[in-house]
Amino acid sequence: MKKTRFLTLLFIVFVLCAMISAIDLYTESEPKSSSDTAVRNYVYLSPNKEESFWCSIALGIREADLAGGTDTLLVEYGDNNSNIPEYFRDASLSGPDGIIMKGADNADEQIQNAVSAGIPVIFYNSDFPSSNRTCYIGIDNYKAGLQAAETLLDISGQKGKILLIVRSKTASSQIDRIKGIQDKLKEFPDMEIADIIEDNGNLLELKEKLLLVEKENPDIQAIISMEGIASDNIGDLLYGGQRKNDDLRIIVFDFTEKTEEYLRNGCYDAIIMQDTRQIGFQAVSALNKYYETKDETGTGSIEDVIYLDTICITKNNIEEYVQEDDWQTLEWNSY
Amino acid sequence: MTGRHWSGIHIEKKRSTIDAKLKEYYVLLCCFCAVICIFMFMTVGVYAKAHNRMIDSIYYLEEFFDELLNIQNTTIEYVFLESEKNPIEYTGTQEKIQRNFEALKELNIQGNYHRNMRDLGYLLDNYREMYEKVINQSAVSSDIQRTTEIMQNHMEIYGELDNVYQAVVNKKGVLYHEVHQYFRQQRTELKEKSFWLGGSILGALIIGFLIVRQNTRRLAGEIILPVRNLTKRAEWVRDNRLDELTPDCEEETAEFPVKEIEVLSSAFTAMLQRIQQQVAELKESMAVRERLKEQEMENLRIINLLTSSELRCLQMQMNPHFLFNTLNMIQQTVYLDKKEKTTFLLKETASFLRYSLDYIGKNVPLQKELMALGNYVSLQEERLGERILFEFELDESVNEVKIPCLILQPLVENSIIHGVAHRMSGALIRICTKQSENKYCCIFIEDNGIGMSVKKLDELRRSLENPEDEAEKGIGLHNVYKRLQLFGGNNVKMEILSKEGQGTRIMIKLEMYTGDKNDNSIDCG
Repeated sequence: MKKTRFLTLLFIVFVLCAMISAIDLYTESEPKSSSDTAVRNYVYLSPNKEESFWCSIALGIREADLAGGTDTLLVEYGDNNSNIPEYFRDASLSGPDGIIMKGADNADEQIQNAVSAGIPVIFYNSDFPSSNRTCYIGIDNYKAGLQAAETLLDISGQKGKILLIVRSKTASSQIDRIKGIQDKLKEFPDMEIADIIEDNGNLLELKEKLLLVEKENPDIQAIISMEGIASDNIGDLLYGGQRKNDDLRIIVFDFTEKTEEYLRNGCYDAIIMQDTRQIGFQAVSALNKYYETKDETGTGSIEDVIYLDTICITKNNIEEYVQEDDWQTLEWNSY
Repeated sequence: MTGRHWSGIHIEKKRSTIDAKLKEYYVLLCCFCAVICIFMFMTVGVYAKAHNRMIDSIYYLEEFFDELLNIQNTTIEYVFLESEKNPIEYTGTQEKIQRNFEALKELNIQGNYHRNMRDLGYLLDNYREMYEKVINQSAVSSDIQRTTEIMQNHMEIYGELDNVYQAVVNKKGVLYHEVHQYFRQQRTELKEKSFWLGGSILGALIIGFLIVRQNTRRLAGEIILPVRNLTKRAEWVRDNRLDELTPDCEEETAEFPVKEIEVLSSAFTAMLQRIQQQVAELKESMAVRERLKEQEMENLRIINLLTSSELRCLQMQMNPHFLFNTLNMIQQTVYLDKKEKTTFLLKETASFLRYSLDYIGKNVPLQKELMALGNYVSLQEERLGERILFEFELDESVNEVKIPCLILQPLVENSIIHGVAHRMSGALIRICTKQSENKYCCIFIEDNGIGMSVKKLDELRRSLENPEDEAEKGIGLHNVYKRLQLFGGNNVKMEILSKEGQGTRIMIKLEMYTGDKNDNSIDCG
């Protein structure tokens, strides 16, 4: 009898477990559809969804969405600028309330049409005012240059020759950065800019020019790279990725996996980076502000340019700025 | 059956019947099966639902984009190939597109799906607007010759329509991807949840099976075990092994949860007890009867012994008288020197004595008795001469009838002594034997002597029945009567008829017993 009671109890336990499992199986959680209740719907066009730079912007956008009750569709168009017009067209035809994208100059017509249709377009990273975009969010390149120079002064002993690496000497962002560096260095006559290399975003070209500079200016004591390709590769080019000798100081722009690695292993001394999360956050905020300030003509009013401060990351404070892995939770659209 | 309540009080538990037990068992079984079936159906239902949802979503997507393609192609034909089919008139197709779109919107898919559906809706509205514009423009220009300029216009407007169409088509890949991702995720979740559900069901199944098995065994035990015990005891009864039925057997089945089994068992036990009791009584009775029989046999043997002793005793009483007279007579013949006569007398006497010695205490055929009587008569004839005449009328049919030996001689002697001894001549003694009509053997011994008075006859008859003293018992008539009584009991009759002055007649009537039945003659040899 005791055995039967025990078995009956066990049976009831199993049946209850089965019931709970069955109820759990039957009920489905309602999908989180923020667009159903979203105040506004935006689109974020990103070159890729793998790199931390773009994912960090997306995370900033998500934060802003949560704060403002908006919904931004994350679209990855592949690291190919020629895709931009088609993706932009699809995005604009789907009736968004705003589009956030990396500055491009090959979709002017589409951008114009969108803006004319009342869809604000926010650029970041690179600005092309001729594209008729609504707003640009980026760093104050002059201030970035100043910060880079100040960081260099702190670590270099305030003397020596400096090599600058840019993508294009004519790009306004590069010009502003160089100006900032130059203006700061004026105060320290023992430091001078020995040369400015223009690599056009080409690694081979960079390599060749570096060799040339090494011949002509063998006593370079500092390098400031303001271009993405150079920032990712000079550590490898100069030192095989290993720790350099203590004489050369290297400061780069843009925080990527490679620049982070070189900073940690001592190749680089500092990284000047944009607060990418802030870029995303400010982009959505700008769009929201646009709609909040809409007048009778249906046009909102926001700044033409929103500058964000740069951050100087060294080995001492890198942990504060390490990108979290939560970009795995981002849901991307790919057409 | 008694049990203990939680309060400590013993309570009488109600026995349930086989029907009730079986019902209880069936209910348990049905509940168990029902639970399992419900959960199985639920699991199957969930899988079916998920499967249907997946198929439906793919179907809606496919049909949506197929119909949209149809409209687009029809539009191209209408705009550029002057087809008469106006796409606007294809309301069925448009309704289908809208219906599928609504159905797709209803799908409960997470992620960017609903945002994409929202965008698709916007694109669809845009597309409708555009293509109506295109169609209308084409319709307006259909009557006039289509010039290059007009065609260029059409191209421009169609180009815009095509852009929208491409944007819509681009959503297809995204939506498929979303749907695919969703169902992959669903499948994983379903698998995980089903694992727990399946595990719980399996556990419940196993435990339920154990419970059913336990109950089955209990029920079987409550019914089959007692029946088996009953069968065993019935086999003992069949094989006549009632002695093996000990009180312990009763204790094995003392507790009967089932009423019918209890009734059967107690009735069977009571029946067995009664049987055992009756068998014991029977055995006792047989033992008593056996003892009685033995006692009877012993009694009979003793009686026989007594009879034989009595007979012998009686017989031995007779011989001395005759012996005296005969010896006396032989003495005379020897004195008279009659050798032949002496020889004859000695021979007859020897024969008679031989007969007496040989057959003392035995039953002999009548013929033998008559032969011995003949010897005696010869001797008496010699002694009495012509004073007496002996007549024999013998029936040969009764020669083999058994009588005790030395019955007739004493009667004849009695007749001689008391009947004819006073006559000097003409005394007659007739000895007759015959078979009566009702198959009895009759022996008559009659004389023409002095007879007896009625009073004396009565006294004689009375004394034969109840001899008053030992002396009377020894008298020949009494002796013969007694021996006849001992021989045949009520089957022998001895009658005495006498008339004073005329004579006496003694009749002996006995059954025609020839010794085929148990011969009660005892050899006292």
